Amino acid sequence: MKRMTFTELVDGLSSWGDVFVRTKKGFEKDGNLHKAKSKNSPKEFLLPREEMLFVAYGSGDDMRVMEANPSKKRVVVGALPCDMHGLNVTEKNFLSEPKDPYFAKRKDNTVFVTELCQYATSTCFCRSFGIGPSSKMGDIVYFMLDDENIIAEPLTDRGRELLSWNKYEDAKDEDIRIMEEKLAEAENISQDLSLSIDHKKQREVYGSEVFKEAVFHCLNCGACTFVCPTCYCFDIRDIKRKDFVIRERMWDSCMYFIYSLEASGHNPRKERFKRAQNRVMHKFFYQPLQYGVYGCTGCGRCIDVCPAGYDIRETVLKVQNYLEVKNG
Amino acid sequence: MRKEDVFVKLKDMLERGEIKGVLGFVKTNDPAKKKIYYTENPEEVNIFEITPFNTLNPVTFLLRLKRDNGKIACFLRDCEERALNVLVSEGKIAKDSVYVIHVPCRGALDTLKLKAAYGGDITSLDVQDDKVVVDGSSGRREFAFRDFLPAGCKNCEEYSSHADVIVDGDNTRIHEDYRDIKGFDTKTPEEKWEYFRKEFERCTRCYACRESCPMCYCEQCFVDSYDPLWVEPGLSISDIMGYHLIKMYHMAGRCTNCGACERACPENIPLSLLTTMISERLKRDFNYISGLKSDQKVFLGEFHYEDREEFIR
Ligand code: SF4
Ligand code: SF4
Ligand code: SF4
Ligand code: SF4
Repeated sequence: MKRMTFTELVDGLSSWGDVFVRTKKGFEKDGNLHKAKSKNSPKEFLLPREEMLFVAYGSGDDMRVMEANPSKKRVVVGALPCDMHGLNVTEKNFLSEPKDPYFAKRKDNTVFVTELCQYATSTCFCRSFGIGPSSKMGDIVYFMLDDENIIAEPLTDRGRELLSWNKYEDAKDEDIRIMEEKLAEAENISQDLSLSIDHKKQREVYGSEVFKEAVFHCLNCGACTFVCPTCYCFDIRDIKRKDFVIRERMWDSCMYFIYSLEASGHNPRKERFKRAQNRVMHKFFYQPLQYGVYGCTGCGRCIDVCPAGYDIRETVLKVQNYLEVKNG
Repeated sequence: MRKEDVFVKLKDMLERGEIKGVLGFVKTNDPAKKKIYYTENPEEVNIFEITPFNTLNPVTFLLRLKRDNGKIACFLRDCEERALNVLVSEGKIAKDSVYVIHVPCRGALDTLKLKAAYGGDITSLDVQDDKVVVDGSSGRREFAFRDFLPAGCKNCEEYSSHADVIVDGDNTRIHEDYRDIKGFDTKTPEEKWEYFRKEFERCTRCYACRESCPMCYCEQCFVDSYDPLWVEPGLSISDIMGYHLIKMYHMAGRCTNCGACERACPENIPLSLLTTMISERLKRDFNYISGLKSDQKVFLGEFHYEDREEFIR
């Protein structure tokens, strides 16, 4: 690893594209690094809250379509291992065939510089998902030694090309020692739930009393799904204006009544508990079955943001326990 | 009645089948967050907590429980009991389906705001007079109790409870007689717009404010409709305001200013300022306070054949 200052890193990267730094709120342009988890994950860089897919105008034979081409080059600095893992999980949906062209373009145009995590809190449980505070991910990875000095290393070809790494001196043994100590502390705090869910038993828990009870206090507000790095549900709408139509894509949430409302008027998730249940089922059963990876990274953001005191860990452990007891 | 005695009474009532279940708040792993819990088990009644950190309105959850075959006992503050009265007067909840346990309240704290202000893991917190003392990973810090109350809690209306049983405790609240609102009224419309625009820009339309509200019981909210499309989705300020202003219309004369919406808002938007404004106008111009009685006339649900306006008939 090489030794440099945070400013040097950011300045060096700014020639490639706009730099967004982790702040209290999320990842903001030229922001000041917030030395803790941010409230929002960086998923908006690949799947924006609202995005225009195309504009159609004219009529009949003269109908024209102008497609969006998200080509802005951006650097996201300070994504934590849980954030980065979240994007890797989300990718499985958007980059498996047929690929989502907007997501793919954004990914090509975004450099992720991740930070090794010394910010574990009581809501962190990333170690349950095969990652942890010391997981190296992204194009470049760095560790904050103090408020300004960092040690960094490139992980991909792109990362190697972005900075003239040779001009920096190597990290001192002392730096590595500090890093290892801090990361070990964080590894200690982040919980490992020791998950052993049998995903194929999904039908045995779906609609069960265990869910009804575990999610009773959930408001179905959807705040958790917005801050989650892996929740990627979206809605597509055509917005009519006088002379043109815009096709927009925007975040949606399975917590909402209208999300699962069908054109016939039937709603398979009319009951509130089924909506709260779906968030857990999708992350802990359907995604592992479909993509071989949990749809949760243990970042704990949903727990932090929840106004109702809901903790997804409790539900997951209850469900796991229910299955174990049931199947002996 | 002392809290402990109320628990004994509830246990007894559950065992004898006089009530079916109990709804209230219990602890979570996070000392700053309490969660709603419903039980029908007599052995569990003593886990319920009566604290200023109970942020939501239990009446919201009462609506989600089956209320036939037996009464549900529910711990309610003044404003929450008034919300129940409104729902009874609207025919939404049968009066005799709820056994009301009145709990004392000095104001209910916005714990999400408190957590954001503290900025670390909280291991303990305690209210001492007009201070909230917080301990945790960022050390021991003190905050002014008043600063973490939604506007509604600073302008709580006098109410004499009709509860079935009353839990002892300090029930004195801050009555500022709508001081904030009167001050706000001196601003120009441009200044008011600027203030609310700034605050509402943070809104993510997560609808925690709607879901936490006992008055928002519509099975399908007006914003959850494609056809007609009352308010467009998305985060432009006009769409955000469209949602909030229409919601506020639906609150007039029904909202009892419990402040649950503001406490539920993950963006700390001062929603209670708007609802408090509604309460102030209603009181000032119509001498109407919502939910004082369960047989009170519904403010916007009333009409007379003698009304001059044609459209109302
Ligand atoms: S878990 Fe919490 S944040 Fe998520 S929908 Fe339920 S109440 Fe809202
Ligand atoms: S479900 Fe919660 S803990 Fe898991 S990735 Fe999403 S926000 Fe993080
Ligand atoms: S879950 Fe917590 S400990 Fe793990 S990487 Fe994220 S912030 Fe760090
Ligand atoms: S709870 Fe807050 S952020 Fe969510 S919709 Fe209401 S005002 Fe907006």
